Amino acid sequence: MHHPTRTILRGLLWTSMLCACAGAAWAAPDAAAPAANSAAATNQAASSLPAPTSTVVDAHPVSADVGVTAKQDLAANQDLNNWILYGRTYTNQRFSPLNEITADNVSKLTPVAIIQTGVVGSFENSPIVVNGIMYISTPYDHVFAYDAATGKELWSYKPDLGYTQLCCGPESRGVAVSDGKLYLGLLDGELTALDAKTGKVEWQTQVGDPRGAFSVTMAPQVYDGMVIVGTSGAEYPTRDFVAAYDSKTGKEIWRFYTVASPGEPGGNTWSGDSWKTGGGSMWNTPAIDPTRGLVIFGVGNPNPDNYGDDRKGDNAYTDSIVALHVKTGKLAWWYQEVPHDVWDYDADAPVVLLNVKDASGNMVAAAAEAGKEGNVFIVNRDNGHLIRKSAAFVEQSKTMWTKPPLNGYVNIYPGAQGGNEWSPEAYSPDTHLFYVDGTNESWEYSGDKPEMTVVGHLRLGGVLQPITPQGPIELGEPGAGDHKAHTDGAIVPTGDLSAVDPDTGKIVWQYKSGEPMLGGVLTTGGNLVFAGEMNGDFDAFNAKTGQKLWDMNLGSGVNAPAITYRVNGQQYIAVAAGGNAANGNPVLMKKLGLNYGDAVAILALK
Amino acid sequence: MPSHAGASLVHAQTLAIAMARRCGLSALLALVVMVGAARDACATGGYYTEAQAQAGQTLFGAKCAICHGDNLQGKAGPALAGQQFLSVSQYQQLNADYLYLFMSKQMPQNAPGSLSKTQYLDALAYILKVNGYPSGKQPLTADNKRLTQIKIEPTGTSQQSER
Repeated sequence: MHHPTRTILRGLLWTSMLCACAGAAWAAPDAAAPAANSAAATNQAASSLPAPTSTVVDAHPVSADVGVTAKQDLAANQDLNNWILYGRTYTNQRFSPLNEITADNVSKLTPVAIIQTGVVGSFENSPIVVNGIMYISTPYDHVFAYDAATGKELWSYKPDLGYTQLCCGPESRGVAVSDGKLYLGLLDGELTALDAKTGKVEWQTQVGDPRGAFSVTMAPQVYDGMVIVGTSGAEYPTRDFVAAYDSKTGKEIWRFYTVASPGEPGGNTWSGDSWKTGGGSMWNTPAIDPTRGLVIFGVGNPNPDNYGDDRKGDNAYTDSIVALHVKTGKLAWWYQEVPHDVWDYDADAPVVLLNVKDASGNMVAAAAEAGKEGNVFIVNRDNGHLIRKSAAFVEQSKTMWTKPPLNGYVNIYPGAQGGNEWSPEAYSPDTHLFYVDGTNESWEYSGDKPEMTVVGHLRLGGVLQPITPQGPIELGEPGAGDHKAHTDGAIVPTGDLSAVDPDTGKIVWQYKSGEPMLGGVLTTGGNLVFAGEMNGDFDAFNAKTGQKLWDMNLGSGVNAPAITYRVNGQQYIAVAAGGNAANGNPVLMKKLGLNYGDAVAILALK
Repeated sequence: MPSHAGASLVHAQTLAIAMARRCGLSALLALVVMVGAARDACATGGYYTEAQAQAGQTLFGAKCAICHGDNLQGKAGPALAGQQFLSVSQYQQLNADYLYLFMSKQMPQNAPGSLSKTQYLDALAYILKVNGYPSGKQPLTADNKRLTQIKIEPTGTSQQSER
């Protein structure tokens, strides 16, 4: 993902210029990242990191039952009061059957509380709600527990983050709560378990070494006594992985590298030693199919991002939907959306489980992911075979799939922000429609052979930046405006929200936004779809027709997914509004007169 | 708890080992040299001249401090000194050759490559100085082999106040 905020910018501006610039060609020392890529090295290095510290304020310890057993997780769909998993259920559908708020009465939706976390910045969090308690993680990995009906703060946890290298902003997409504990992946590569009643630290495990540019930004998944998280770092020479930890102790149970090594299936899709630093971030929370015993997720881009000549081949399992046996972490199947990617087209949104009609009209179990390249990929859940690719849900330039020229440039849309970026999609079994955010934005690409590989130092393999007809989107960092840019073929950045028929792949309706749409979608049994916009609007749509029914401006970009839940019989909607740090988005937001924010709005019918 | 004297000895040994690694001496020899000659311990007489570091300091203030901070503590750009910088650099196996190449190709950020070779070396000398590398009689030169031998790693004598 370039995630872009990717810091691409930061990357471009700082380290990355390493490879991105002016034909810098110095002799490559025997290159190679030191052994930071092997598990052993990571653990060894981790042992020498300073012990993490944190500050916990538990003025009002939780008295409600926030235990959440593995059995409750499996039955999350029947648990109408709560939103206990990242995508509400293991399907990641982000659908709630709650229907007190409907297409007919949503116009009366009103804020009942505005939480101000005090942590201002790029806000991508999806809250968890358990028995009237709401758990939020903010940028920089602070965690808060609130009364979900009033917004009153109960406890807070503030980590003293160690060394971090963030390609794309201080993001935290959320937490997991199970067995009385709350699990948080941190930007400095840790996985931390807190007491869900008090916020006190119970255990900490180093997942990836931040000095090697490993970070965790996704909300962990919990399943059957395991906490599952993946690392992100593929703008740097990393080899990323997903791992399962014992939820009681933090001890690693299994680990799966998202870049195939020689001898593994797909291991022949990397030339030479390129697999050792092949990237493959995991940006988002996996779905789980308990019946099939599978954990299914998307994998991000290969590294270097723009330059592929030193990693010849398809580069498995990057840009793929991957299914593992959840008990062992062994590969079940994978489907690659973009073989040999040189455009930063991660599969970085959550995989959604649903049933669709196959080519012969039979309903089959499927898994879907809306890619950065602008199509929804729907695969068979038993074998990963493609059932269908949807129509494009964003504009796609004729220049797509052009290799970034080594001595030149090409402007392409969608670019490194998608299509669909990390934003969680939603699926409603009521409408049988699949809802997805989209970005229409051109990006300039050029390739450059990285002459030097240094562990922990950005390795983009060229330049990639968002381009408008007026020039590059100012990134707001010193010198950004000095970067050379070409605007031919560039489009004005916009966004959209699309409803896709998963049986045909056709776009059934589409809403157009003036800016890229990032943040994700909620759909409910009230025939509603909720999504946010960068201009601060939080919108409700008729789920069947796409008609906009209601909106309210929350004062900063609504770039996070909404959730819904019930307390004392009343249905609430909650959504974070703080804007997004990636890819020049702050510049677009600023043009609208908006700043970063720190709010979580709780809304209900009056 | 170690006594103060004990702590000092450990400190000296650490320094000696670091210097030995950098200068190609045995740790024991380095310790002996250190005891005799304080911090000017490298057999070749340090890494850069005071004049280079002074010129580098002036240059840094004019061209680099806006992003990296007056004390190299980092601002919009990354920190270039301090224990975290050094320990991360050690993990990343950075050496002075890499720093020199990176600086001379990519810095200053708003005008990459715009300084003279002498200026880049002066700036590098200043960065080394702030990070506790000793000066000597021989100037720092763009000698790829020699620069590669200067590992960027904790010295225990960083002059930057810790954050």
